[in-house]
Amino acid sequence: MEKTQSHYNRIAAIFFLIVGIFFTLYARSVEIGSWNEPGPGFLPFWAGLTLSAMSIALLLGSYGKKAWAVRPSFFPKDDSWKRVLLTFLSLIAYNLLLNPLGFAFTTFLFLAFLVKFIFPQTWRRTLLVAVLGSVIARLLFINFLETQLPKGFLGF
Amino acid sequence: MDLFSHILLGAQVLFTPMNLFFCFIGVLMGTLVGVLPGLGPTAAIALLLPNTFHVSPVTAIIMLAGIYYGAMYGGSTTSILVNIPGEAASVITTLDGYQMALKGRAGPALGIAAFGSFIAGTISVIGLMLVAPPLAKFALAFGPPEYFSLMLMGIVVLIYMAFGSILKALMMAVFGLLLGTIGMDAISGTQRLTFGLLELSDGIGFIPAIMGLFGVAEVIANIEQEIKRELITTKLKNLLPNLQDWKDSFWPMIRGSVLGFFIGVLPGPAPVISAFSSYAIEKKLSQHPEKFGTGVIEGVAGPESANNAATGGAFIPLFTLGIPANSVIAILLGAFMIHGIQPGPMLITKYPDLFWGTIMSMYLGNVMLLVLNLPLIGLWVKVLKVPYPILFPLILLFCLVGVFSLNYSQVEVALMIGFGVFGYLARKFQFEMAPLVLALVIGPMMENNLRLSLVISQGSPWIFIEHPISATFIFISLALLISPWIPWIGRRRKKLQEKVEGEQI
Amino acid sequence: MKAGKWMLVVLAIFSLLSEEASAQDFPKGPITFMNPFNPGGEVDIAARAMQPYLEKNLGVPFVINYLPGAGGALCWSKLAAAKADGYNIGGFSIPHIILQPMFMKDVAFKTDDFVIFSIVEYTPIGLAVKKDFKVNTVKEFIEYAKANPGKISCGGVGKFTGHHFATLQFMQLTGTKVNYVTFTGTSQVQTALMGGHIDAAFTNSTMMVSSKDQIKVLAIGAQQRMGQLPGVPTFEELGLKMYPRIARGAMGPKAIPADIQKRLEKTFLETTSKPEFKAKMEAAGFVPQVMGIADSHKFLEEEAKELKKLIQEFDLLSPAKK
Repeated sequence: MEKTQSHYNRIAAIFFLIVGIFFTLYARSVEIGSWNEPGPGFLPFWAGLTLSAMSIALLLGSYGKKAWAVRPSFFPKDDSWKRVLLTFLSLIAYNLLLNPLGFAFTTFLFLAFLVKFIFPQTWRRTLLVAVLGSVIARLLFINFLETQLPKGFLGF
Repeated sequence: MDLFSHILLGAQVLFTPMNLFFCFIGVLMGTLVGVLPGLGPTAAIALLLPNTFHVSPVTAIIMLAGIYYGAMYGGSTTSILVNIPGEAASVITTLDGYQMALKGRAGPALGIAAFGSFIAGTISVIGLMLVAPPLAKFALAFGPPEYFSLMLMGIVVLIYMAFGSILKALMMAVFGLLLGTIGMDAISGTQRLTFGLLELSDGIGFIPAIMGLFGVAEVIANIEQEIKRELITTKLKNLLPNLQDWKDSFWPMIRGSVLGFFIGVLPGPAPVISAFSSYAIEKKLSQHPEKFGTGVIEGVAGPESANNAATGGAFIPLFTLGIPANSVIAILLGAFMIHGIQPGPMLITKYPDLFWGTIMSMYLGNVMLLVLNLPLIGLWVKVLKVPYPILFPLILLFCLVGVFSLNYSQVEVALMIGFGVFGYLARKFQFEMAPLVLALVIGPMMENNLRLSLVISQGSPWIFIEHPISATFIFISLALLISPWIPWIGRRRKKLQEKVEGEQI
Repeated sequence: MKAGKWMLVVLAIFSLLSEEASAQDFPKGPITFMNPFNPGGEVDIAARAMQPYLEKNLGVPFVINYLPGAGGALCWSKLAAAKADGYNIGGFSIPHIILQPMFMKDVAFKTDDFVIFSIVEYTPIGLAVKKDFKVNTVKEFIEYAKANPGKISCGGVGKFTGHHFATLQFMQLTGTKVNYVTFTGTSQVQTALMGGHIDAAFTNSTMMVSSKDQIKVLAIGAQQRMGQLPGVPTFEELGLKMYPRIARGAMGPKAIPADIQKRLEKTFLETTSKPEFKAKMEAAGFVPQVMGIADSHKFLEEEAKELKKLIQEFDLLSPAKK
């Protein structure tokens, strides 16, 4: 079945409704306060209510009988999802490996992985980019700008 | 004329080889730092300041001015080239600037941004010279209710300018507001949704949010497409704006500068508000508003001038009230303190040479910026020619390191990745990110001012209407929100909306 | 590009030059000073006045960062958990760091989480009103307050801070009730008062000195009249025995190694004992101090004792009075 904008709106509306209700309920556990002494829960409560109301409006609107634009499939190419997933995973991996492996090495791995596996380049190009990239980055950030980036167990 | 002799005095102070050199260094460092997110001007200043012990404080101030302007400009560069705003004020520049880059017109965009900033700088210097004291009075008239209403209007303006459905933009804005409440409450000290993580105590930083929503999400959206898609499909044309560009941009730059200067006088997030107010005004005044967002030069010229002029206007509270508007200007305050000068209402009359010297140095910073950056435009644009399969890992790296080097926090990097996912999904679902980001940045201040106003009025929400300035802003906000329902305005909007939701952005 | 390469070389040399050869181990890199309030406030002014001397003495940049919120509690919570290597230090305010852990929930620090390197100055707190407010003396103020309980908006920075406490003390001693409005920094209180958005404020001597033409200063909480504020009576003269004040300086997490502590202490002492530094501080309205670690902690203990006494005597911070 072809998806139209209305389907997307519906899903989004439900997401925001959940968020809105969450904040509204959460606000009650931190003081909402009163109108002349608004507490930390004041804004979350009212904003949460507003968001919930708007989500319901969006949800109802999505059942309307207008000419909805047809949306293309979620992933434009068949193998898009692989690239998207791999890239996100590599970002997460970078974050986790940065401290143990150190800045220069982690950067090297990161660049090499992405260049090679997302839009595959030759090994020569990959290594060139990865090495140059990590060396320049290290020089720039650690030596020149003196940011305190982790050195990792390899010590560089 | 008295004014002229002041200018001469300032210029005399300024044009020594030493001062010129330091200004140049400042601008260079500033631009470099502005291009790298997360390393704000404060970091650059901290690194260079020890060198200034050996030179006079005036020189130090001159370098400071160079860094400040350089950083603002650097932020615009990345907005245009890779759709990553260097700071909150540059978010607006991404809307049309990046689109221009995609059409091969990155050169003119960068050029107009530089010239716009220069013209804005000129206008704000003139403004400073002529109207500083009365403006200070104007700034004082802004209290908590006025700030709240101003910010509210700012968000409403942004929502009104949204491409697609106003409802969806509103939802993103409210969501941004809610996200902005995360952290330690500024008034009562209660932790809100921080899950015991100390890093979250001061809230979700806007840099991880921007890097995620604009940087990461953009890259991911791009790599979904065809392999080996070149980012720039057309041959790069002129590197500089052509005559038509100048004609189109002239009035936006002037308007943006004046607007930005006045808004800049108010302490607070002036560059952000002035940038998107300018955008809104240009769109309203334009003959072809539906083209905004596809790469019209007015959408770059106006906001860039506005945010630079706001930067100039921000010096006013310091000189007239002795109150720095932001942390960079606070450094200037420190420089004054070194000389035992107490900034306050008497400053301009008691220490004219310092005042005028500073003004001229700000101006010089502007000039330097132009001189330095125009030749570099060619270099920046070459960056875009790097094949995307190699470019995008570098962009991602730049985001990762930028965020990490802020506070050395993995939590913030994780947040950025989270925002990246969200931004990616938001694009698919046709929700705009700009309202979210701006609400996130302005939300906490809005909330504080809201609560302060209510405490002052002892619970009466009517305070926002009782104060005339505040009432004006509220009225404009309401008018903008209701306008889609008024038939003849509504029809125009509807056409825009249908056009947009029918295509893929 | 030849020019470009030269630029790089120049810059590299430049940056190398900036790192003076420091023979000692500490400090090796920039020191970050966390300011718990907004730019332009007292902590800021004092820190920036000290900055050039500190940088010269330590040989590294002294970077001032801002972390305002909750009257300082946000910054101090972070500082207590910061790495205890001497590179992360911050400003503080007494009595805030005493009162907040006692009375605020969710606060992630305790008064003895820190080592105070030096108390640099203190500012007596006084009462000021906006220019067009219809009172000219404290006596008239009290009368007005009694006639309009809870109506006067009185600004101050944060809750459970020096200003808050002074307000409570005043209300207790005079039997009045004012509406305390919480800001995050002195500069905000300053603009609000100058602009007439709040009626009154209990605020620092420095603010009074810098704004004295735009506000009316009614009284100051010092033992004797202050030279920088001619014609302003003390609370004591008016029959109100209150001496509210805020003391500030630099502190760091307690676990910093002793020799690094000593090094930092030395730096601050050398800075604050310079006569030209003292003169600048006085001109701005501060009461400069020269105290090292031991003296500062003694001061802290004495202030704490005094505060506890006042709280008990007057039942100042019970829920009803907040």
